[in-house]
Amino acid sequence: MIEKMKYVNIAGYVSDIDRVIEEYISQYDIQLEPAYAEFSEISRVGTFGEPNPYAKRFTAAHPLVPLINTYSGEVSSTQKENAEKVLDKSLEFLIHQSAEIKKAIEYRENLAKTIEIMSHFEDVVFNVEDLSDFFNIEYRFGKMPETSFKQFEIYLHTDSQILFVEGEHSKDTAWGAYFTPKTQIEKIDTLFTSLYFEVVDFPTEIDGSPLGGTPKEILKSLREEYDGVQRHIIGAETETLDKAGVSLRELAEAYHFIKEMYYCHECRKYACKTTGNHFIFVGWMTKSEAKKLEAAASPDKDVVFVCGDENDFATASPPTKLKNNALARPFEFFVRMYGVPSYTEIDPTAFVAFTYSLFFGMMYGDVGQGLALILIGFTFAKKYALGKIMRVVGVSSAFFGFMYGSVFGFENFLRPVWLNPRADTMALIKYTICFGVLVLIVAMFFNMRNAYRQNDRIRLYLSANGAFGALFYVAAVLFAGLTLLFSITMPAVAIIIFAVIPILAVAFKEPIAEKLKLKKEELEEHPKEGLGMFLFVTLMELIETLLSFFTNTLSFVRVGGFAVCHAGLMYVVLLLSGAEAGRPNIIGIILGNAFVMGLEGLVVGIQVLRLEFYELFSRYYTGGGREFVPYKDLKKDI
Amino acid sequence: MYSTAFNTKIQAMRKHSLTRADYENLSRLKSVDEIGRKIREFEGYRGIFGETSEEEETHRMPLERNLVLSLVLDYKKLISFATDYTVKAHIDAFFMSNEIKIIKLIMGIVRDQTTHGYTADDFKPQITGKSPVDVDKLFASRRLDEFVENLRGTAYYAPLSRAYSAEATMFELEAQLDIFYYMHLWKQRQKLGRNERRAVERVIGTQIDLRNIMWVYRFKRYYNVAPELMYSSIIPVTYRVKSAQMNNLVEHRNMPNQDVLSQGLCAPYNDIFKEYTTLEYDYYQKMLNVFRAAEKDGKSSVVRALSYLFSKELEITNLTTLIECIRYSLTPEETMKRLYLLEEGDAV
Repeated sequence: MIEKMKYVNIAGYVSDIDRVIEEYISQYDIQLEPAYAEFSEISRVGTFGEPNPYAKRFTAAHPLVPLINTYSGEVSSTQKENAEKVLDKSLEFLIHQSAEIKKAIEYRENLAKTIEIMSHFEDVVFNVEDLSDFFNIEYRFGKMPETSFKQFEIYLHTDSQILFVEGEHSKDTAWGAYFTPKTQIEKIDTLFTSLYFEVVDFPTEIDGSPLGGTPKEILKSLREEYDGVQRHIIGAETETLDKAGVSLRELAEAYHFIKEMYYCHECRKYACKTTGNHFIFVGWMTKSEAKKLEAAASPDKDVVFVCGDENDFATASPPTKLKNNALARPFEFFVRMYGVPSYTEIDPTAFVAFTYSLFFGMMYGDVGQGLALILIGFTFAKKYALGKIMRVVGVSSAFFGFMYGSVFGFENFLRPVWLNPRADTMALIKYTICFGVLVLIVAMFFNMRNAYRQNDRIRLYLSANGAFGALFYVAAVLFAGLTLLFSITMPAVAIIIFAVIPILAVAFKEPIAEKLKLKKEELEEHPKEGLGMFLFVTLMELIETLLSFFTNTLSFVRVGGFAVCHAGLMYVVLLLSGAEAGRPNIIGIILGNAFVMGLEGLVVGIQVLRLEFYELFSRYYTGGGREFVPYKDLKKDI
Repeated sequence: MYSTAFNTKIQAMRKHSLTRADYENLSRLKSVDEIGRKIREFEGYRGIFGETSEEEETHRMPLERNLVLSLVLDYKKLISFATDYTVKAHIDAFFMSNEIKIIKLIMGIVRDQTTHGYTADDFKPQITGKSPVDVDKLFASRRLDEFVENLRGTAYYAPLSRAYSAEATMFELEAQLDIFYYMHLWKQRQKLGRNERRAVERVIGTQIDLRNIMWVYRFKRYYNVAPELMYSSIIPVTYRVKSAQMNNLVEHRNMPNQDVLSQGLCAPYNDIFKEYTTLEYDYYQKMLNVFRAAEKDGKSSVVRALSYLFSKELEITNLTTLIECIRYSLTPEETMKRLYLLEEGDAV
């Protein structure tokens, strides 16, 4: 389900903005939109451009973060003056007055920097102390963009005057060092500068003591050293803090307050300022959150909270927040993989959850292996989204295991409730196609509903997945079924009314839409073509439509096919491990089962996903939405 | 089946391309008005003259601006008819050149602090890419750094911001855009099957090779750039020119002398620079030939589509030149000499 969104405006006095941000925007789930863009065309508004007043203290307090992080208790809110006082006092005592700590912190930063640079060359094998032995060779360490590195690699790698040693390759940056004769250095420097090579100072010593060994060895000892220094600093700091009469709790509270205020202030960039010294925030909230905020803000006389309809916002469509029950929620993973639904679309998650589990179980019905899947799912559910999905489909798999009467491939323990895939193959395949047809029809109805909500009448009535397309499909399946299964031939009139006319309507949707003026104005103008070209294209499209109906229906044969395949594979496993002959080899059975689970779990999982994405999603789902991200969560990543 | 329909579509569009005879007829006309009327009769340009009245067209800007719009229109047609994802991706990547052209133009406007008679609306129809280029914002930039910053969020930001510094020349910035463009285009082919990939490599690879050679040549001839500064403007892709050859070319002392181009320094392409009327002329000749040959022996929809866009763009360049020639009253013979037309009977 997609949660209903409300478009909200929060306005108040500029002098009051910090309180509003803190009390309302940071507390409730609201996705802010740049208000300036929304209002700049209507009236004269400005933005908040002043620098962040908390930035200075926030950065100054940065060296204290390791100490503050050792505090694990509750942090309660504090007053601004108090927080500033505590922080200033701590900084004064810890850094400005204590020469020892100041020096240790400097050393720590130095170590961190050295480690950072050195780590880009961790896998290069050379002795760092050898660098000082060069007399006629100059070298530079540094980084350049990956594109420049490619230019270098292709055109200059063979240059006899340059020796280039590659370091780490991170996303868009290549680290490395070049060596060249002293006589050439100016030319080579120019060359590398033009390739956007940024020189870094490669550390050969730290605090006067030279570094020796390969980068890997040096890094190992430096990291140990860093941990030691860190411990030492925290110890010394705690002591000094005690002497200064500031508790760690107070410091932590002050820091968190300043940090909070810093980010609150950053939030102002979303707001705009009106001429009357008011500010306005605009954004999106879910209906329930908006209600809560409204209740909280209505007694507040200094704040105006306006909750509007979802269509009120001019510059962007509402974001999408998915809301599903615990059973369906894991399948949001697949939906997101394809694309978040747009606000006006149906959330396909529940449908995906149902059909995915159903088809997975049908294709892979085995009580024992289903239970094993559930177990594996529980093991990995915390770490991987797929684990959560495995728990659900495992249940379905076990259920169909009972239906097929199969436990770890043994078919003689249980009586099949429904049928045995290997014995009743044709019946199974007929059933699966029937399921497929039903699911396809449901998908077409979803498409019609989406089209209706998006007011796209061509898609609603005339597309292959619209009303006429669905009518044709139902009629075609029905007629074909009656003829094939019961040898009842339909009268020609029925065929013409229910199949031929609908499909012709789909084929000639363009001219029909034009006649009936169904077209929206902004639709891109179709290039004018001659009649011959038009008929040709129409014919091609018609064949494509018919073919896709046909192939998509037959595609569901795979559901039955894999059920048979599972039974067959397990038969082979049992045969090879001797169970069929009455002398079962336990190890063989276990290994065989594990192999089949790995193979089939993967293949079946992918095949069902294909059914979802290709056969079904392509009929009704576009997934062009954007996900709802409240400012509260955004703040964490800054 | 899909590609058959698509190829047929391109074939149909190609039927409307101008022939040598068409150009000859145009070159005999006496005034820009007449050309406007004549162009309006061509099937390939009919779509763009929908609403403008004739008086408006007589003014020089709209006519030429309209011509470019027909390229955008054709691009949209191709995209709407291409059903295959990789084909679409190639058309998009190839046509990005048009958007980059616009970005370079606006960059020039920002640097020169004069609009050259353009307004932001002139460029809007030509922004066809997926990244949200905000023309109004770009156009309103006061300085180059602001211009680069206004591109944030688009694909062009990374290459430009990397190269931008207070000393960076327009030339360097443009080179980075070009490198980004060609690398992006070159990357697309990885999704193609073997035969189709070869066909695409043949045209795009040749284009990249030639572009590299031409740039090095221009560096030496017009800008007197030191060899070690050139590498950052060369596309790191080699097709038929080997890297060692490229090195020789860059380090060669006599390069500005045009003979050098035919001395075997750019071996696979020696023949094309032999005639040497102008560098551009030879380039277009070669590209037209390569496109034609690749189209002939491959069944690649991608090459067909790119070839169509390439020749259409060239057609518009030709028409613009032609209008200019008429304006300065050149004789038909002189006019024809200035157009890039495929010479008949050229072997590839």
